[in-house]
Amino acid sequence: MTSMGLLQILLFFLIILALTKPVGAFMARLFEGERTFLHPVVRPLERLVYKICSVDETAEQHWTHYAGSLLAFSLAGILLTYLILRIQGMLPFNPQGFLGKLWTPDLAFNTAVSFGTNTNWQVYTPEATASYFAQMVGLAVHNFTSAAAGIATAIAVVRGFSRRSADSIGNFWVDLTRATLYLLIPLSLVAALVLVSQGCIQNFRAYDKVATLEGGAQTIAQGPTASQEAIKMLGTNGGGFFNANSAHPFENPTPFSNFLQVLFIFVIPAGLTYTFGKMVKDTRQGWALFAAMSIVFFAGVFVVYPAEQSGNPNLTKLGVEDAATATQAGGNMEGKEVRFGIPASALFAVVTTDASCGAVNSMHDSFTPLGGMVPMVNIQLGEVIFGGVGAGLYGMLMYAILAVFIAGLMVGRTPEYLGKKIEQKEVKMAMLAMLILAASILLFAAGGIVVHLSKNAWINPPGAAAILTNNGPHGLSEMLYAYSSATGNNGSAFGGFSGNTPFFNTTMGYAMLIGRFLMMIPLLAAAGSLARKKMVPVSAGTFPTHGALFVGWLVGVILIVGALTFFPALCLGPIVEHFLMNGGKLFSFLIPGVWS
Amino acid sequence: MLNAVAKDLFFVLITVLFFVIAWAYVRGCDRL
Repeated sequence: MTSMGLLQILLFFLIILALTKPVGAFMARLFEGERTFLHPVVRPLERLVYKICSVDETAEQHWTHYAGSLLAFSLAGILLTYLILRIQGMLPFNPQGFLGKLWTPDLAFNTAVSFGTNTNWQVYTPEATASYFAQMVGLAVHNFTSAAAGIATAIAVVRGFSRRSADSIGNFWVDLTRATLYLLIPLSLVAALVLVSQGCIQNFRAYDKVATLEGGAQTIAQGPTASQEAIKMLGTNGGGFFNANSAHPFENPTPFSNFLQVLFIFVIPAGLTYTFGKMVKDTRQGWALFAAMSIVFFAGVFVVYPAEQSGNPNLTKLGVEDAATATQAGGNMEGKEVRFGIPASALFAVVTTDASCGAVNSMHDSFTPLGGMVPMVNIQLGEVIFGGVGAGLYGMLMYAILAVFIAGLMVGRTPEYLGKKIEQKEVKMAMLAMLILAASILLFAAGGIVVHLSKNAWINPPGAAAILTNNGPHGLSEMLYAYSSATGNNGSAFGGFSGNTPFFNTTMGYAMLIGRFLMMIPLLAAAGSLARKKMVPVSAGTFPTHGALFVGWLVGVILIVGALTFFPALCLGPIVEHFLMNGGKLFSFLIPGVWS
Repeated sequence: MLNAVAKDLFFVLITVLFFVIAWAYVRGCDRL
């Protein structure tokens, strides 16, 4: 590891630490219905939205109504996007003349679900498939709304802890509107302009056709990139305007834009920990979650960075110079951009999978086995290390419920968290959310590996459309990562696996839906149950949840639960691959079409 | 082979089906 690399990671963390309180305090005021500095400008617009949509902003919802509103809103958005993609040829802002038939029904389903669930798994090639209208109205709008829905859900779960003897947890439509108008749109406006200053493009013109120095012709894709790029990171969405995502120079032109993009991913999720503390009237509780998240974050970074900087020992044995020098990055640079190097690629990979972002600036498939395992584990833990906007916080609160429950079992006391007794209902709901996630990842991945359908069936048409490019444990990692990414609503691709067939598009689409909604619903149910409870006074037997002991315990629960659930699968994938690599065994590139 | 309209209908239906199941799941979680 280099001193510049370490400095970059430290600087990143210090900036996030500094932004957590102001961003979190702003969100706490916003969602508690207090006045913010943006009210003079945004409040009239907010009122207009309520008027048009017939929303009574003073009306509160029972948790079932809150969840019903979330489901109805998401269903409508997904169906609208499906329609836009299928008829894009008839819609404006389409200078390349892309037709709707480029979107097969299964691909349109997969993509609509992907953006509607904040996953942004992209099995299509945006610059060769999607019109500007489809990208902006069909996809980028979801970047705002799905992120806002995640924030709204997290705030509703927090209200479960902060309210006493209440039958409601807020109003979904109000939370959604406020998250979008006061938070995501203003931040995205500023971020997009900063990205434009770095060279990120923003236009509506047709693609450029240029002659290369060798005399050939090349098409250079254009489009409104900066506006999508900003919310892609801030909303932890991750869907690239171009296929290469944040490795593309028009999306992520400079090392500075790269540093900003990583900051954008964490700024809202980190701020939400402080929002949580403010709303439960004890900011130490928020900082305790922040500390637990930070410990797991650093653990991930300091596995990936050294693993990538060490590179592949088999190349060292062949005499390849892999040390970092003034003229080369050293280590494992396969699949990484030269302008970013190893530390910025390692940091990006960890942050994008700690959060449910899924944007990539390097190809995770080309990482060393341990370097590639960390992003996968981050997703499998539920992306609670700061996490997706909202999703990270409610995921971490799920672990907190389990942590106090297990601690309560050990000492024989009824567990409490933030003055609320954690009883049968909350534990059932937390376990349901946890099991749904694990079952979807493991069962779908197992099915993806073993199910071989007839080549002539509609569900698996002829041709090399579904490919695993590696055999052995690396091939298993590719499939396991794909379903982890889908279920975890991350959307990053390990690479190496191409699954644009009806079978994979359908099963991945369902994995995304299950991972999003069947995890959110039990947590909203737990919030509804908690909101109805009275506060229990602190006693000598109360387990303090703002100290180092609880932070350590919470980290332990996260890692132990994750390890117990996914360790066997990881042993068959990246862990065995690591030992085999050190023993000199590498896995060949499969000829496309051999596997499907 | 299914034609495009039938496939569109299939994917719309399985999307709606998921949300119907999700709503039943809400009711189930409320009673659990």
